Amino acid sequence: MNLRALNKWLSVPGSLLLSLLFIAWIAFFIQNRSSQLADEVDFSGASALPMHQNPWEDRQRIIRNGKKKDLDLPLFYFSLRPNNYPADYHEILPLRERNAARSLLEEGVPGKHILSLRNEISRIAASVPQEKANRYLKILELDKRKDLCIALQLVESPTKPLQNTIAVLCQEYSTSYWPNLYWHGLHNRWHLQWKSFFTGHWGHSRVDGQAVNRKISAALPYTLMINGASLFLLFLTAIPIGSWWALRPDAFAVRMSRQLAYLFYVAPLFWLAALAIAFLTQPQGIFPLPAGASSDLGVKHFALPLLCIWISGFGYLARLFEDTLKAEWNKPYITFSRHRGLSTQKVLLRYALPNALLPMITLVGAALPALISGSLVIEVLFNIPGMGRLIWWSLIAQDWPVVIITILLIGIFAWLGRWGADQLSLYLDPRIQWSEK
Amino acid sequence: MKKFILYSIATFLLLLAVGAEFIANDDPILYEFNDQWHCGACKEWGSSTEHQTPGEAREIINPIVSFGANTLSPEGLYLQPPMTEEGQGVHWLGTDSQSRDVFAGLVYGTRYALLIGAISVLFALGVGFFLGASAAYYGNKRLRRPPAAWLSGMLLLVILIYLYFFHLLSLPLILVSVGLLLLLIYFWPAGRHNWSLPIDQWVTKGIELFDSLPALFVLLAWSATIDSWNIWNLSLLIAFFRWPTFARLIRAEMSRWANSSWIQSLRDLKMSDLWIIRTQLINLILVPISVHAAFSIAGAVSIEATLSFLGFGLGAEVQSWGRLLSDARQFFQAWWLVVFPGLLLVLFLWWTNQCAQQLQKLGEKSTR
Repeated sequence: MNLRALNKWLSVPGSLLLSLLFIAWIAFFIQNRSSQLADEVDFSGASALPMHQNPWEDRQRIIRNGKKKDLDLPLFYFSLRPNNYPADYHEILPLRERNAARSLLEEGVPGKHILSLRNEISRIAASVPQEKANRYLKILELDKRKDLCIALQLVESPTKPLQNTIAVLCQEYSTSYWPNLYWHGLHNRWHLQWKSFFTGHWGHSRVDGQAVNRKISAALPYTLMINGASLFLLFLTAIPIGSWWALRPDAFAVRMSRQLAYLFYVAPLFWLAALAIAFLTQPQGIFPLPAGASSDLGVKHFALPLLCIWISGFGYLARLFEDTLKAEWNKPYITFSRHRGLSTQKVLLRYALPNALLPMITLVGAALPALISGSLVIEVLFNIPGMGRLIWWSLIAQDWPVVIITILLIGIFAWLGRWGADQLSLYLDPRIQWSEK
Repeated sequence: MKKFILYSIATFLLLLAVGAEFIANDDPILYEFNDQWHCGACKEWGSSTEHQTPGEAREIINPIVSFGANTLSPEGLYLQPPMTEEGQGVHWLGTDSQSRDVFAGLVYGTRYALLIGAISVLFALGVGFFLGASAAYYGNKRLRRPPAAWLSGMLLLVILIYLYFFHLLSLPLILVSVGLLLLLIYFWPAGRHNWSLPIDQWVTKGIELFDSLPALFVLLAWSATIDSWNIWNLSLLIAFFRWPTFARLIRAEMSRWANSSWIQSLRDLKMSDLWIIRTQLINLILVPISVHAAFSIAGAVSIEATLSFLGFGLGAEVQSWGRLLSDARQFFQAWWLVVFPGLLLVLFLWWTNQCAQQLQKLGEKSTR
């Protein structure tokens, strides 16, 4: 048997699926990490109550929020855990208490005692005055068995089951290594998330409650416009100037412009943009200041962002084209055509350019995801309400539904761009297929 | 001449990075107190016990700039233009939005830039070399081991992941055991009946997967979930997205030689794989690797600057170049916050790019 059989299965039909799965997994991982940050924060805005007015009710609210966000569901179809973990470990909420329970479980404490302790403490805390309840609920966040044992001795008039639990918890335990496999079925977070993604239920923003697809469709036109225009401008200028550089390498103007373009290419885009805003906008310069609100946004506001994207991308593109054209120019068929007496112009336009343009297709394909993701830095700096700024704002506000969906969409587009460019260049130049075999 | 310029920039950057405390500090470098000499700038280096420079001390040597990276201006001079004077000294390059000195920030930022560049490239190079070299050297058919080796290796790997995930074994021990696992597979002799691992195709597939990831966005999203930042986890995060470029390059460069008759004959002489890679193959790909590493340092530093500029990355108390620039995002009329950190950043990026080109030329000369 050969392990390459596995590979055949992996490579041929599943390339897109595998990339998608990988992006989905990374996105899921990030989202899962993010939910650990602040499960008590409710993003709906309506219930922004001050915390610790009534600890019992606060805790209930946190649990309700967690359930709304599906935090009480298992992560995946199955889980492999040490055998002292309770089967419904994933239902422990709030997450702070789950983390505490987890470190107790890692000390080897049997899960059923932890669950019964949680039940008893929360039942007692519901019936005592606020300050005491707060103190009791803090017990559930203790993550050392010894601290827990000491704290539990201080509970006034413990019930009978609590007394038993205290006695059990104050024993020594040895760590449990033996794994147990639990099957959770389809009702898990991974399954539900991707089911809703593929059925088009992309959820709602946590910040303003707007539907995610509505937010994206509001942002997309700006990004498409600005990136489409800049891409068009880039190729329109880079190809003639790149051929000029390739054919007249020794001219003074060529050397100067190459160096200048290289300098702009080395400088990071965000610096160029910040410089442009500091020096070229209205008090000193001619361009308008970045629009304050999206309603003020006019055509004139796009001039400077376009210029910035163009100037930072131009050096790379023109140099790349120069290199490919130079390589093409040194080939025998060009020499032959020139010896036949064809003009430089005709040789360039009829023979060299079409061949040198082929590698550019790959670049267009690689630029496709940028077409919808937008230039993050530019949109943030110039306050253009496109996809880049949407992602940035969502990240700052921890609006994860929006972030995850946009990352997935960009990933899909990136794959499509690469695949499409490959197919197109195969169609235009069948020799590529030969050379790869 | 060009070499001289590159060397002097390197010296300049290293001086800034190593001697930041001696260049910009709110304590004097050397002062006299109670007839004893003390080193004020050494405090951060942990060699001295005193914590506060006494007011009546006689200062002997002062640093060039009398502000530290996080010294707040006592007079509350926010966003002051360059050459603003203050009781303590002159803000040569102005102050930022929290009244800290920009020059001092630049000096300390050099240290962060160099460290983040170096650490992330080292991590990325390590992972990229391991995967790329094994993909090129073994190809799809040459890593042949008995089924028992693969199955036991797989089982051990699952067990190690399980132990790591539930904190049943500490991280260093896990790493050591992964190393032992690799050695086990490496030294397991091929038997009569073998399975070959198509490691080349797997690594290529992995690189492809990372290519389809929108790196900047995933990096931003991931960094938004991390609440305590330090140089190490930032560098690791950057390296996580940069190893594929190394792996691709090393695989491409090495596979040119791995099937040559020279290496094939060494293999037939039963030289060990590690020996062949270590003594023969590495020398052949040293130049392209170091060129790419130099380019990659520039890439890592500009990623860090972009992250900090957008408000993610290292905390507000860390004065990296991108952090200084990010003030300009809100106060874009403060041109000194844009120009000076950006110039230093561009100088650094230009320097690394030029170094890479010089390395390339050097390599071309030596192989000719």
